[in-house]
Amino acid sequence: MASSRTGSRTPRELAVTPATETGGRARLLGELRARGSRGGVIGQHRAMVSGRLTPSRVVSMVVMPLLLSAIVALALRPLGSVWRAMLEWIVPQLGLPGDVGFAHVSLGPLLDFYVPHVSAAAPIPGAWHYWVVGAICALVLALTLVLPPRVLPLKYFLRFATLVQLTTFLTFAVRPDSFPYALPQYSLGFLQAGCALLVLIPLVLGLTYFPFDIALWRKVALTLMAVLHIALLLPLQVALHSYVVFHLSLLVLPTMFFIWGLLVEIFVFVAFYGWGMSWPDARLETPSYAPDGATQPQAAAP
Amino acid sequence: MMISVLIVLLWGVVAVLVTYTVRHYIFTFNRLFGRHRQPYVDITAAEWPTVAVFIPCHNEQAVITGSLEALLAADYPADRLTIIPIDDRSTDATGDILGAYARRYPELIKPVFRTGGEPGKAAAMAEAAARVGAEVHLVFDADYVPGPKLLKQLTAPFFDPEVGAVMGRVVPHNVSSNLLTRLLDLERAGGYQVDQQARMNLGLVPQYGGTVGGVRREALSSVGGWRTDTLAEDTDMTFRLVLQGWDVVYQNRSECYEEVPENWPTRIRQIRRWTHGHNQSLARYVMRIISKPANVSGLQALDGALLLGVFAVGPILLLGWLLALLLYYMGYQPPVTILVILLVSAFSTLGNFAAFFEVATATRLDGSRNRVRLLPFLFFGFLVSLMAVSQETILQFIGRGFGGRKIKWDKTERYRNGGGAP
Amino acid sequence: MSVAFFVLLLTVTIAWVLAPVLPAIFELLRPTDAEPLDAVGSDSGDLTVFADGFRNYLARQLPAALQASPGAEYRGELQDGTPFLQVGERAEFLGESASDGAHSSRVVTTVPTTLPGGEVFMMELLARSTMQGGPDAIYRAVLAEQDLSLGERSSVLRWVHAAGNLYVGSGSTLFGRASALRDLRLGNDVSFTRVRAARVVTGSAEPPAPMLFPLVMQGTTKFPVGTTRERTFTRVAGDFTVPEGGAVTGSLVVTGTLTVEAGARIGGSVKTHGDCVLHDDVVIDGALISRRDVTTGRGCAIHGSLAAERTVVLGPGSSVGTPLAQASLAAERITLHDGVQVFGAVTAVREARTTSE
Repeated sequence: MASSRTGSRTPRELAVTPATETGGRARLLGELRARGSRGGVIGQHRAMVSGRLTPSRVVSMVVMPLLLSAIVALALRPLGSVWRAMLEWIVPQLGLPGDVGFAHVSLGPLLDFYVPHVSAAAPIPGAWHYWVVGAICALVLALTLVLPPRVLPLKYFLRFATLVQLTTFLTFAVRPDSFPYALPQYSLGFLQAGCALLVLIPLVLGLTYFPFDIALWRKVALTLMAVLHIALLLPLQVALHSYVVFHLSLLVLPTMFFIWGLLVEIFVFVAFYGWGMSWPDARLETPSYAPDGATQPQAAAP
Repeated sequence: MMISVLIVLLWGVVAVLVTYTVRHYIFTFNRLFGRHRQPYVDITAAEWPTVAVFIPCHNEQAVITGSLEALLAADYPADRLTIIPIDDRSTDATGDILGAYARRYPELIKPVFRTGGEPGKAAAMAEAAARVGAEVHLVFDADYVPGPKLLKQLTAPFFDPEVGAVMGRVVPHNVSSNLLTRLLDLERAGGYQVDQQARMNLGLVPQYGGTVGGVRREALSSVGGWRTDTLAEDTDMTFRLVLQGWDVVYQNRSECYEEVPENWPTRIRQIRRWTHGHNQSLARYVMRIISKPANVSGLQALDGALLLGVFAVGPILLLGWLLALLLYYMGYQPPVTILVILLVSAFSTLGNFAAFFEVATATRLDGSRNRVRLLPFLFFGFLVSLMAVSQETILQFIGRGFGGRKIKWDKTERYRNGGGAP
Repeated sequence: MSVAFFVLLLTVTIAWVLAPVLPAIFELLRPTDAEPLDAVGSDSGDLTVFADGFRNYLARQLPAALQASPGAEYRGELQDGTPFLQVGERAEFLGESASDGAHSSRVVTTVPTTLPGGEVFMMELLARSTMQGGPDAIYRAVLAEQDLSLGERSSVLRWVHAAGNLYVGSGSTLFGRASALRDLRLGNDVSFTRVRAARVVTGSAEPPAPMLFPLVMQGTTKFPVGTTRERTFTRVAGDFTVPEGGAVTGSLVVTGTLTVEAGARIGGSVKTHGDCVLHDDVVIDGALISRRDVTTGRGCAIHGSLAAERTVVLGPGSSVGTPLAQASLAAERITLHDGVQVFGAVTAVREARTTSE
């Protein structure tokens, strides 16, 4: 932490700085107390550092996320229209038949909105689909055999995805006619789950990001960035999933759901979170020479 | 009927995952805002007890010199310190290096050369510790480089008559090597800076980690010494001490460098070794800790049981995926729309976010900044761990059992450039 | 057309997904924060580390002119450009060099010096001979190679170390570390966090040597039901009182509050989960560790270290450690009455204060 008034001046520089420029002698002495000989501020050792749970922090952890979450919930209605417009433009370009549907979702009198969905029906897998998807699985598996050891996590991920796909093969082999899902319902359910996720994001950040000593505007900015990013990502994903499932049949729908579904959103969310956690502290403060008029020393740097 | 059973099972899995999530969250919140406990770190002047520092070695010529030199520079009364490297059948120059040091510092360095008996760190420790009368036994792996104040810091807690073992913080040294080392740096930070310290704050069961720590000789002898039939003698020791009424304490200020694995196969071997040993302790002690013997509080019993079950969470998570897939194929539709979607989402995704929160908090407390940006890549690290842990655990349950794996030196590769005799 | 659009859409989506991952990718490819934490610090618990560093620094940076005549009066710069002042035989040279009572140079005094008071030393001060500070002075840091006395209401912002004795005047504040190789005597109402010396002593009078045995002892103490004898200590469940003049053999752990009546002795170390109250003239042969508060009466002697997780109040004439056995006193807050002696270190996480009340 560094003082904004005096920057990172060394004690040598501070000592020859007029007191008027440093905000008075008390502040100057506070600076001299806190700075090491090279000008860096001497803080507590990391082993001793803790956070500060001030009342205003608690309020911002609870009130602000709830407020943001409520705003996101209320924005779902216009967001549904934006998604509809996006899908109405994308779906014909992808050559998918049928219109974009618009389903009504009501969660009580306050939350009442519409969510779009594609209406193209995906086929039950035929022999061609088995061969193509099987070939893709074989290719991916072969790829995992030749990938170098340093990308082992990628190999594991690809094998895991292939494993999920193989369970679908098994399901269709055992019960070919009883697959309980269709593409329109899937696309609708996916966007509905997306809505839930968007409402959840401010609340999760409230519990995991707002407790830190980061400027409130940054906290709000990170929340809005994550929500807006994922809000735009969801219809793109739905369109892509619909295209793939339409052409490769319901055989790939479970893989889309489990591997390339909300897991992607969570990955994006964690990326935002990691980025936001690297942002600097809000208040850069120097211990006062005489805190609150007293002369008691605060915890010294160990 | 079938579907009902699967749903109950799935909710059981969700309950376990939510329990661990809540636990992570409580630990992190406590570390951030709870009362910080490091009661012994300011004991800097004292009549220090006699200390023996053990360094189990097996083919450690690349690193042992650095470790010994660091210990020789330690700020500990020389007349109360004995350094005991235990050379267990090294086939490289380790024995020669130790011999040279012993000749140079005959009062201080007293190596033990093992040529027979059971191999492995636990057996080496058991044999050497039995011969030493020092009041405190500290243990360092051969690649660790203790700072000059570390021995006093690690010894200070033993002025508390209840303390049976102490554990310091392990800090990766080779952070910048590659993605794996950077991810392990993040994981270690979360594990020590938050997890262990929160346990200390809350008076739970900090884990003695087998290195950068030590045991009181009386405590060691009261639990029957080091066990040689386990791959995790540290976890085993932690629980035997706690069950006997000794305190295990963590000291966040006592940091020591280690080398973390630099390639995935080594990391997987390490994880599988830990898993096997930890699960051995799970089988041995979980019922005993749950039955809450005298001197073990209810919270300690709960924390101890959850700590023992940590490596079982991997296969449980996989089971959750399997159940979710099965139910999905069977057309299980959530009965109440959004609420259930939230819960299922929480199970499959956000439920594990607390671990990311823990790691990010730790790096922020450490004063690190940009390294936390690698957080999304932790997914991949977790995936590898999940697979390795699950594979080892399943093998234990269906085949190997909890005792029978042959003990051998299954050591982690060293990456530092080699040293030599003094 | 649809395939091309699909590929385009896929590309756009992947790019969109990767956008927030870019900081992570950049950090991986061009690391900016991949150094190991500085874990092998040498200063932990070492109160003289700054003083040693300053001494070495001055030895390197002293102007060439002074290396030939080390005691000369000099005003100029050190080799690294830092303003520097050396006071020789003429003590008033120091006052002449001040601006509005403040010294913005590193200062060295080479002869016994007495300061009038009210000075502000914004940079380090090295006293090569004895030094007597005046009242209301402010020092950034002081290294004294002999005895040093700080006047009343002095403040030390970073550290002070005396190679001889160090006296800190009443009402002073030591923000950083203070240490002395011999006695460190603290006047009344001195506030500090970390001090260390062969002996830290409070008040102006010379207290008697720590008591090795209580004045009156009446034999062993009966333990309540539920007491267990562990391998190295006795554990008492709940509160426990050692009666006046009583004795406990070996170490003692009390899960509640421990009260030790006057003149009692515990022949080992003590751990209390609750508060610990020692009445007058109690002797503890080992360390005293408490998870809560420790309060002692007059003349108590703890031969080992005393560490409490909350507050410690040491009564008049009490002691921690002995002249032959160094010890530490550590707690969140510490109050030391007159005549307290600590043979070693005193560390308060928040604040320690002396009092004569």
